Order: sequence, then C-alpha cells, then structure tokens
Amino acid sequence: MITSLKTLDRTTAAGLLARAALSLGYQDNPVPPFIEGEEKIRSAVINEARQKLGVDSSDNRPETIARIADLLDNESDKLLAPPDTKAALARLAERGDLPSDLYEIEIIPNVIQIYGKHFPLEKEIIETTVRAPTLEQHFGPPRKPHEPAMISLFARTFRTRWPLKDFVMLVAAQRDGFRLYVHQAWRIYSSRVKLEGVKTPVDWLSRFADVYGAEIEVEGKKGHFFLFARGHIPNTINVLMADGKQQAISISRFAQKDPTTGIDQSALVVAIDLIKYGRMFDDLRVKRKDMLEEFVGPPRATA
Amino acid sequence: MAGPVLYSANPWFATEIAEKYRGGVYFAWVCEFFDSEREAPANSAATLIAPSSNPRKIYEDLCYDYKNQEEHPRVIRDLKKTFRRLAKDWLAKGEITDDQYAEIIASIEAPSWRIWKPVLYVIPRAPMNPSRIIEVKRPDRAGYGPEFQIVDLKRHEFDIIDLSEVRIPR
Repeated sequence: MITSLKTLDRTTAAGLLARAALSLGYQDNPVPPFIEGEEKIRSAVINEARQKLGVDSSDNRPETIARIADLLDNESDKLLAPPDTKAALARLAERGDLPSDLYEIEIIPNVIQIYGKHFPLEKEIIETTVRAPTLEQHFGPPRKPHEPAMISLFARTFRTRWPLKDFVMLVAAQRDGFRLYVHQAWRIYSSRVKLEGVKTPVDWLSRFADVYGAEIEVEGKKGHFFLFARGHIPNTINVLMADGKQQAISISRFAQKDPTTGIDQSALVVAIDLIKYGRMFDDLRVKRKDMLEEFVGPPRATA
Repeated sequence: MAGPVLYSANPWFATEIAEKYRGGVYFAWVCEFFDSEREAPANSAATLIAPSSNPRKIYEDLCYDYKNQEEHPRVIRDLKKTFRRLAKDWLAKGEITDDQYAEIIASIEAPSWRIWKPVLYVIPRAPMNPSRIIEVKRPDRAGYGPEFQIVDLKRHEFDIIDLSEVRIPR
C-alpha cells in the first residue's frame, strides 16, 4: 500500500487514489476536497507513484501521466474487495437496467409464423431493435397488482430509400434472467398509423392496435388493446365474418401471475388482424438492399 | 457574444449513471459550438478551442469506436478508466452503495458496446443561471479557446440527441 495512505481506512484510501488519478490531467479542481489535507496527501501519493515507476517529477508527458494513473488504479483496486459483478448483472437484468445488447434474444414461434418466409430479414430487424433501440421502456418485478412485470419494449426507426416506407420496429419481450423472449414484433409505418403525441413504446403499441387491431372481448370489455387483463387468454381466435370467411386474429400477451393472489393474468394484450397487417406488410416492405440502416449483430469483442 | 446553446458529447452510459446513481444530476463539459473548428467566428477565441475539446470531434471519435467494435478502442478504454475512478470516488464518499458500485463496475466490464454509444447534449443557455456555467481555467483546457463545465445539470434542462445514424455534413 502507498505509505501516505496508511492512516486511512481502505475505502477512503481507494477513493483518494481514484481522485488522485482523476486529478492528474487537471491543475484546477472545482470539486471540494473529500478529506482534510487531501491536496497534500494527493501530492505525496503522486510523488510516491513516480518513485515506484522511476519517473522524474518534471516528466509530464501524456504517456507518463497515464502510467502514473494506471499505477494508482491498481493500488486502489487492491484496497477494495472485488465487486460481485455476476450478482450485480443479475440485479440489473431483473430491474430491466441491463444494457440490452447483453441479452440472449429468443423469438417465440408465434412471431416466426407471422412473418413466414420473410422471417430471416425480420429477425435481423428485431435483433437490431433490441440491441440498439432509439426508445425503450422496462417494467420491473411485480410490485403492484394490475401492472405488467418483467417486460421490456424497444422501438427503433428503420429508414429506406423511400421515406413513406420508413418504419418503426416495435418489439415487446419478456425478460427471464439474461434471456429476452420476443413475443411481439410489429412494423409501424407512420404513413399508416397516427403517432402524434406518443411518448412511450406502450403508447406506440396502443396506436398500432387502433389501426390493425381486431375487437375481442376480455373481462366483458370489447377492445383491441389491454394493458392488463385477468384470466386465461388464448393465442388465437377465429371469428366468422358476415361474408362467411374466417378471420384469424392473433392475440399477443404476456402471461404472468398476480403478485398477491397468484391468479393468472396477462399484460399488454393486443389482438391483431393478421390479414390486414399482412396486406400492409406486403404493400410496404422493401428488400434488404433498399434499407439504409446497418444491422447490429451481437457484441463482437470486449471493449 | 456568448452562444445561445451549449453542446456536450458523452457516452450513453453517462446518462445511465446520472439517472440511476446520481439522482438525475448530470455533469457536462460544454462548448458553445457543436463544431468549434468550423462554426466559431473568425478571430474569436473559440477558434482556439482544441480539437480534443470540440464536441463534434469527441462525438465522432467515440462513434468510430462504438461502431467498429475493435479489440482495443482507445476512447472507450479511457472512458472505462474514468468511470471506474469516479465510481471509487463516489463509493468512498458514501454517495453510492457497495451494490451500486458493483453494478457500475459490472456494466463497465460487461461486453456491451451499446453503453458507449455517443449522445449529444444540447443545452439552451438562456434559462440557466450563468453562475452554474463554470469557465474551465486555462491550465485545464486543452487549448486557449473557452470551455465550460456544468456540474448540476438536470434532465429537463437539455435535449439528448443521437446522431449515430446520421451523416453529419462537413
């Protein structure tokens, strides 16, 4: 341990070393001292570090300063117990605070089925949206009844050669540890869906359902978007139309349990008319080469 | 004349830290021009702002590292060191808990590139009390041109802009 710090407790000493390392690039420090006589101790610490490295006190070349700072970092690391980063990442994942490019992405069969032969491109769009969203919203562990839990929503704009075919991919996923299960992935075209005043991805989903939704009845209420619903809700409902044709309605929802009663419930229930959505998708989709965005793959190396 | 808007280029992680661990208080090293090299009026002191303090240059250098995901990204490596030091300082001062310290270190060590995505703070100057905009003294500036710090910025006082998908005209 650096001798100038021997009278201090380990955490304080580590903090002081960190502040010394931060101060190396600056002469005027606007931050008030952390402990009495900090300036004096800091200067002794830096002198000691210079001696250990065998560098002269007049040597202020950037590479020398960097070496001194690195030595101070190593010394401060030795003073602190190594943090439990595995547990820390698990907490971040539970709260929805984990950087989204760290999740392992799994797309549920229902979504794969919706896009059929176009799924390979859609998969890349979905993964890019999760890894590098422009907007995201996370619901943490269940705290109150009637609130979605462990769900993350991501949105990202994709530009094409034709601005009217630009769209936002909206992804809704359930978190489970470091895995992210994608339950919903919808293209939202601003040329077809009114988006004025929307703030959160949940608002986007609601507006999308206003255009492509199909009326279903949940808990005696008719609608196409329910933030929260009780009881079992099936995945699909076939409705007989007035002209005798069958209409396939896809119902996407996140099954969860009421934190107090343990009763089955669902969050973010959206009933979508897949024929109407599919028609729009076929009208507006473009080939990969006509999309301007670069896709984001899994992290390649550790920064 | 003082510019009406201040600019500051930062990694997205800085916003995460401010929101999750610093009570919504942001630190920003700011400049009166987004691109001081090109936008500063001729013969003004701002033309002497060092390239390393030019928000555009900072943004572009970080964006290069973020997009290329090379094995030893220089800017990100330095940012990691800075955030580690800051976390130790906050821990020592009792401003964050052991768990929060571990979360910051875990985020830095995890193989996420996303947290290093650059964002631009655009800060309107008029509503702000001028005493909060601290001029950085000459020895601590990279050049002769004026540079400032705001140590208590709140989220409602500025916009955060993501230019990473935009080609900024030269």
